[in-house]
Amino acid sequence: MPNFQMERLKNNGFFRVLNREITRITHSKVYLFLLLVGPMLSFLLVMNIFVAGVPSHLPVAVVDEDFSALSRQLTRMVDATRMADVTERVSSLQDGRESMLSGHAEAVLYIPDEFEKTVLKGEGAQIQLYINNTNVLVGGLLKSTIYRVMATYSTGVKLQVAMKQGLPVEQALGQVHAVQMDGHVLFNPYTNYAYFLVTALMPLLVVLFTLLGAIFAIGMEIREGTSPEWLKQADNSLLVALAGKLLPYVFLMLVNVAVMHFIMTQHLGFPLRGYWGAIMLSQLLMILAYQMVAVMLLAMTANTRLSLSLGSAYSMMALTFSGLTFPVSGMPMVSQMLAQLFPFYHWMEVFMGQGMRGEPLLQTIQPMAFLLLFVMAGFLFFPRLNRVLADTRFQHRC
Amino acid sequence: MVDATEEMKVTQSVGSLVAAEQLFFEGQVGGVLLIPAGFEKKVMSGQQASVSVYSDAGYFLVYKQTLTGAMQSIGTFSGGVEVRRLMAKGATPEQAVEKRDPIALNSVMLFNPAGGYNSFIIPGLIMVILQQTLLIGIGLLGGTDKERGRFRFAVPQTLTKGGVIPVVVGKAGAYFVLYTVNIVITQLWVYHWFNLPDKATLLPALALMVPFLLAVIFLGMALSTFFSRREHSILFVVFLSPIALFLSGLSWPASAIPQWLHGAAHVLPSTVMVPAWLRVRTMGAELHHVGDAFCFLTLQAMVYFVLAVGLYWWVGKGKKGRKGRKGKGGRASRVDGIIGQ
Repeated sequence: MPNFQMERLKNNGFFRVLNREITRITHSKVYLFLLLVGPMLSFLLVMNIFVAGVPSHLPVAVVDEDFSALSRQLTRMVDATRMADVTERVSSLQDGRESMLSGHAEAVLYIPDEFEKTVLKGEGAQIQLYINNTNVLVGGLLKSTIYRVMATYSTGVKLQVAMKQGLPVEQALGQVHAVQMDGHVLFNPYTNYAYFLVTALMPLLVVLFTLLGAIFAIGMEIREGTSPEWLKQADNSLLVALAGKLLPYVFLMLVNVAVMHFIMTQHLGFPLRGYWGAIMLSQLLMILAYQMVAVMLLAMTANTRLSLSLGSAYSMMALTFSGLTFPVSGMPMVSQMLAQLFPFYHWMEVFMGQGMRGEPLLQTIQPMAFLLLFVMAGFLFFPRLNRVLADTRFQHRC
Repeated sequence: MVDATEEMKVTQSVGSLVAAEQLFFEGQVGGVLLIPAGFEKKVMSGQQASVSVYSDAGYFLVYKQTLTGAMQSIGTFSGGVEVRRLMAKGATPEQAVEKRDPIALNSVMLFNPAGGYNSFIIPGLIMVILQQTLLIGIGLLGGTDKERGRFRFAVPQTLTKGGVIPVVVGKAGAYFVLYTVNIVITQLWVYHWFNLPDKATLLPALALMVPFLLAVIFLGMALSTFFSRREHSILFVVFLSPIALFLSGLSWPASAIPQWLHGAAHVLPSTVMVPAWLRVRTMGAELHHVGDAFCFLTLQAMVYFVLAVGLYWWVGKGKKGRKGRKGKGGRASRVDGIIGQ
């Protein structure tokens, strides 16, 4: 009986192609790199870049012309924050500018002469802060940090004055701070940057390797002229041929995805508030969608190199529309429409919704449907790909 | 007041936090402002009142905008209340303002005052794109040559001493000339289209750009000797692009990257180039401000030149030996024959 079953397997086109593909993969270092080494290596790099979570110890230069007890205390308070490090004490604003241009300082804090005197007299002292806002992220962080330091410092001074005037603590607080803001940071309580950068970058790398891997796998058949033999193995059914060919890739990419999720949830402490199953299902759909994009590209160009170039550009552009650098809802209408053209965007919707926000499952139906649409669209290109595969004109072409 | 800020727009007023949560999940609102019961009473009786802001930090820009908007409007509101209370006690308006804010902090956001996203990301991005396309392009050419067995063609005089150097320099010259065109496009036209800040003077810009291009070209040529197929250069270089971007400290500050990784990233010319280029282009730094970067890039160009020459020589020699033994005929030897004549 087992023998009979083995025979049947051998006669099945799907298993013949599958077998052929596994041999191809195991006999080439390039496939090994594309499918396992590359993704893992890039995960490792990305993970380590953002290991700190939040930037810290940004260099700040201080110009202290007063050099009093109060100004020194202020400098110490700035230095004590996690974000800022007072790395330099320069003598003039000109020197501060120099060190900013040389890249040694990201901000210059200027404490003028007679600072202490004006504070004690209650005349309203002025402090200047110059921030290098070339990098918006660093500039914003430094600004909010130093503002917080100033507020703390200033409130302390006010509170003492108010209490010395004989007000009880509660009234004094009301006097110095009439309305307090009680901020609730949802879903990312530590305002961890790694959360939002890694969540876009790692899946993007998965997309990149999926797309390039699929183009390379199919494209090599065209370039080396082995496509007729490949189709023959699959009993001349393109569907069977593709299924058998791409199954190992789907499987290996899922292994990578599993590692990615392991890193995100276990190592980086990424939350998973919704349904694991929904994320995984959309992940599978996304991989299939990008493989179908590979089919479309190859069918249209019939050229492996061109498809690879287009494919890498296409997958990179998806980052723009992931909504993590700039929210899609804030983009112009045309860009919002464009975003729909990237399976990555739809996957991100599911992933952020389920992983971070714990949205109700109902919200995932629409993006999932879009992903499915991409997979379906691939089938429209089957006839054209069939012609490309059979046509010897396209073989051995550069 | 919240509605009047640039960052936010009050679109809905709902009865409870639960209803607000519903709206939030439907994606209709990006943040929720909760004004608790008894707010006015507390303000009027001189106690400290509080307002809650719920913002979505899953999307960082949304979070930043809602928080900034809320902070500004609540701060202004609170300031108004405090000043009025002081004035009620008989202080003059000036005194009240000074008392409320004994230390004023004037912050000046330099070089990118509007916090524009364009001028923040594009200048550095262009550099990374130039580097990566150059690496891929040179790799493609090298791979194609190898595929056709033409790598010997690239190195015709390997056996004479120093014969590789003219070949490497000549090829690099061709790439260099081609990329000066790209530089004109990216550095002049793109800057013009996007209205990017440009404070650079010619000397420091050239001092950075020339060694940078040379370093990338020689690195690309050294790498191209490893690609045996044209497609390989795309496969091996593309995935590095987003990583190179972040390693350059463009959006993620370099001080937050682990030391060993940032050190290793110096293999790529962009790691040194991008921050130095931003200082020159966006901030208007002079030559002496970017002296370190210039020295490093020049050194890098020289090291990669030596590497490229060495690898070309090695590959040329190896090919010759193997060719002779295996006697792989066909196109390759035909080409060799033509060159020989």
